[in-house]
Amino acid sequence: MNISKTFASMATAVCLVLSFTSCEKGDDTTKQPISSNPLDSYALAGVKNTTNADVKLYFGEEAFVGYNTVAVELFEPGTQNVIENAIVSFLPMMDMGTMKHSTPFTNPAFDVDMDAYMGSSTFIMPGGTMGSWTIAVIIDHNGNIDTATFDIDVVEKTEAKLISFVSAVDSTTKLFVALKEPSAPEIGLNNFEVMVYKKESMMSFPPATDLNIEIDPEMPTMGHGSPNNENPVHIADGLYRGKVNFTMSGYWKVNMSITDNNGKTVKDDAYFNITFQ
Amino acid sequence: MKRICTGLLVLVSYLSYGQADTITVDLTHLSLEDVLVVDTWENQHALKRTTDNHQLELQLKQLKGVNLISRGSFAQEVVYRGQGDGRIQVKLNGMRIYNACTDRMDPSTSYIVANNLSTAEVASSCESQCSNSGLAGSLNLKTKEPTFNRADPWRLGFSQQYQTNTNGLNSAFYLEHNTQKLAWRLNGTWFKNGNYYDGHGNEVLYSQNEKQNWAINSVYRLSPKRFIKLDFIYDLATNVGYPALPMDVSKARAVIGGITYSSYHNIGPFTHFDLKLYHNDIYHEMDDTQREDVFMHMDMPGWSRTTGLTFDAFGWKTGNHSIDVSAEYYTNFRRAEMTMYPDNGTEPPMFMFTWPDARIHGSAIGISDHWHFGKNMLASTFRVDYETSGIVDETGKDQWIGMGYDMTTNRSYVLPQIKTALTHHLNKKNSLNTAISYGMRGPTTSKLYGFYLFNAHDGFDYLGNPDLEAEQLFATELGYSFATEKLKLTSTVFTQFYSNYIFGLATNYDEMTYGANGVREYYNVDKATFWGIELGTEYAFTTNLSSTAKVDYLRGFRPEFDLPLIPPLQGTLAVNYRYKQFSFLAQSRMAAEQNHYNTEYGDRYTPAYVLLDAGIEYKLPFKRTEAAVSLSADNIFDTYYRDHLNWGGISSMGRILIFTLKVKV
Repeated sequence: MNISKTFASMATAVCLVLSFTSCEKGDDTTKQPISSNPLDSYALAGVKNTTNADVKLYFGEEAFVGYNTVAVELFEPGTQNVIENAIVSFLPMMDMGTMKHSTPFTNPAFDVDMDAYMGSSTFIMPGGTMGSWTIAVIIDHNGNIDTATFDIDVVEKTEAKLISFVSAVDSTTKLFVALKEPSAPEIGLNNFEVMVYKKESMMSFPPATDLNIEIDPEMPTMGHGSPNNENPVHIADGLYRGKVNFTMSGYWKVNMSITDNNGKTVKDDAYFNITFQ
Repeated sequence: MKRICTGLLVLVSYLSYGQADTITVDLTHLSLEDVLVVDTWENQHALKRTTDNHQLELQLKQLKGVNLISRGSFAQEVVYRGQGDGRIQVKLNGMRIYNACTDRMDPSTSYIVANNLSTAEVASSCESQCSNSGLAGSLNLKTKEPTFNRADPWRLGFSQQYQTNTNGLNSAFYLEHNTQKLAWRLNGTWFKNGNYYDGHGNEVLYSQNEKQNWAINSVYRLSPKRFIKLDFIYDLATNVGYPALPMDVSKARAVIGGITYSSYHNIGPFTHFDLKLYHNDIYHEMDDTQREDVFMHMDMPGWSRTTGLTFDAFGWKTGNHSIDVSAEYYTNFRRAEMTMYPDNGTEPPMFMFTWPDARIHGSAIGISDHWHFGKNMLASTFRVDYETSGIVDETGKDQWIGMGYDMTTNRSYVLPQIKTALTHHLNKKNSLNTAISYGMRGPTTSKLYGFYLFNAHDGFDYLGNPDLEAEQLFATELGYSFATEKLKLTSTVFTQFYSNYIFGLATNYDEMTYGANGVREYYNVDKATFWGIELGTEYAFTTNLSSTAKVDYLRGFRPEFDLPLIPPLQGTLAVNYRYKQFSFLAQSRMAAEQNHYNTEYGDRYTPAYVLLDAGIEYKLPFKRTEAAVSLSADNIFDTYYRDHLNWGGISSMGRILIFTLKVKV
């Protein structure tokens, strides 16, 4: 009799505890449903119809000074049938009236997941009063060559995504370093990726592949850095990948010290500002 | 582990089937030496120093082996034999309460007031009971319980105090009522103090405090042998200054509640049992807006929520054994944030978790046995805790992944403790006791997951370490006591040998706090050793004149250096005298200089001091009402001194006069 009462009370108490413990906030990691077209989140830069293909040009976001992901969708004229076997190349061009120059880029290749041709263009200056940008998309489909040229508005972000400087080794080579990642920085460990190009001529900006980059993030306002960072190393085509640890949100300055493969200083006070909340 | 369990079972069965004797075991005489009556109104003694102080910590300081780490004049942190939070366990009516401040501004004792307590018991590492997991010691606090007294259904008391030095007003009252079935007690406390002045007459800035505490304790009688008890406490401290820290506290709030079912019917072989469910919710908010020269304004709120279920069964008498068992489940959630606001108008605030939504689950079972044989009593306890913890929040996890730790799995610890104490009565007056214990404890939230927690004592940021292992303690005690009607003498020598001792070591990381000296990270270091001597004596000259004396000495070191925050040789000598309606007290508090200190960890040399206190109380000659007025003076000569455990070298309080009026209807 007493025992049964006892157990009843215990059971009630256990239930109460369970209800207490369950009232905690769960983690908010519910994922967004994946959209049907992977290019939905991209910014459409223009549509051009050529003889042999309808061309759609996209940027990862509104084109800006720095590293841009560029996507090209090709359709058989007047249809929604995707052309998958073309050879596509870019030619970005800045027309400044008296002179013209190109910018670093990588030619696109067909990406099955995206159902589009994916490449990049690293704009080294904004468009506007000084001149205007175009990208020529050259399509070779079964030997038929078409060119579609798009006008591009290139804006400058408040926090620079590209820096340029002359190498201290020879005082002539101009180098461009574009911040690729983190594109959406968060607290903790982030991929740190930069694209590095050198200027060979007005039209040629090949990747610089033999540099050593050391990074040192700091919060200038607080005067502290963070531990456990990994210096970026060259992966391919001018892409250097490492890791940066942001111990808190706010304004960070990621300092970079760049040397060549002989250990000579190329630039020791380069940096990117990265601010996030 | 398996071996330990088997060993224990053998031991337990051996104990259970030992000699048959008829001596009944009264638990209240066995467990603990030090039982402090902190009752403000019912105090039977002449006059105890600080009896009237509602700040619990100052009362606890009177317990043997207890010292206070002070960051100001409020919410001092209790340390027992040199050990603080994590190594000692504080429980209120069997409830775990975890503080909500990463900087230990609010030890759990700060949410409880002295005048609502009936007892405070301290148990050493060797004598902890099966219901408490404190590795280096346990502090068990019990609130006052309402009593069933049909002759006097309503009772009321209040006390009003004024103290100089802090220009403080302390008020307290209680109201008690009972019917045949229900008894309840409401206890209210309010106090407000300004800055204190040290012995040189210097104002110690940012040492003010203000607090209110409300408690309801009730008992409902289901039947003559079955009760339901309800405990509820609301505590709110505001505007609390911490002179040793770079910031203060604008709000510290605790809501503490528990419901207990008590039955004195037999359950199996046990004579009675308690089943308790509790929950507490603590919120803490630091404040730097009162300070000048703040580098950057920041908000640092903290939350701590604890829920637990305990089951204790008592009094299984078999032969001359008495066995208690205990089981508990508890879970604690803690979050603390830091948001810093750059004032350059362009930068966004900087944010991080300092406790990144950490949750600890623990469950434990324990058994203790008291065995009387011949002139001996052997008290043994075995307890095992299983503790598991992890980070709930994704950003919090990312912070630690960023530091290079694998956060995909929870941290788990199996924590056995085994203790045994033998008391041998040589004769009626003399007895010897010896005790030995081995146990483990898991790291606290701060030690595991604390993210750049600033320690103002040594000026370092402390980084947790999610890969910490459990800490082990092997402890011994040897004691001798002598008691006659007039003279009581106790002496204890104890040692504590830690392995895997959790301790902060230097890293080359950048400090997060502006102006900090560097970063230390917690590691398991191989060894730490503590030993100490505690002597106590009481002598009654006449029934009206009595004296007490107490001496404590403690050393704590790693093989290569002294550990910080170890109190020096200390002593207290007090004389009580009662004459008619008057009671008098004279007391001296003494501390030797501390030469064993560690400057690397914030310590400094502390000179010796001798303080004198005195007090007088007069009981007003009313017939129906009990009333008394008293005046006590602490540090009469306004001696300038600094306790070695004061953080940041802040000076201690100078002379303070306390006027008290107490009335009980």
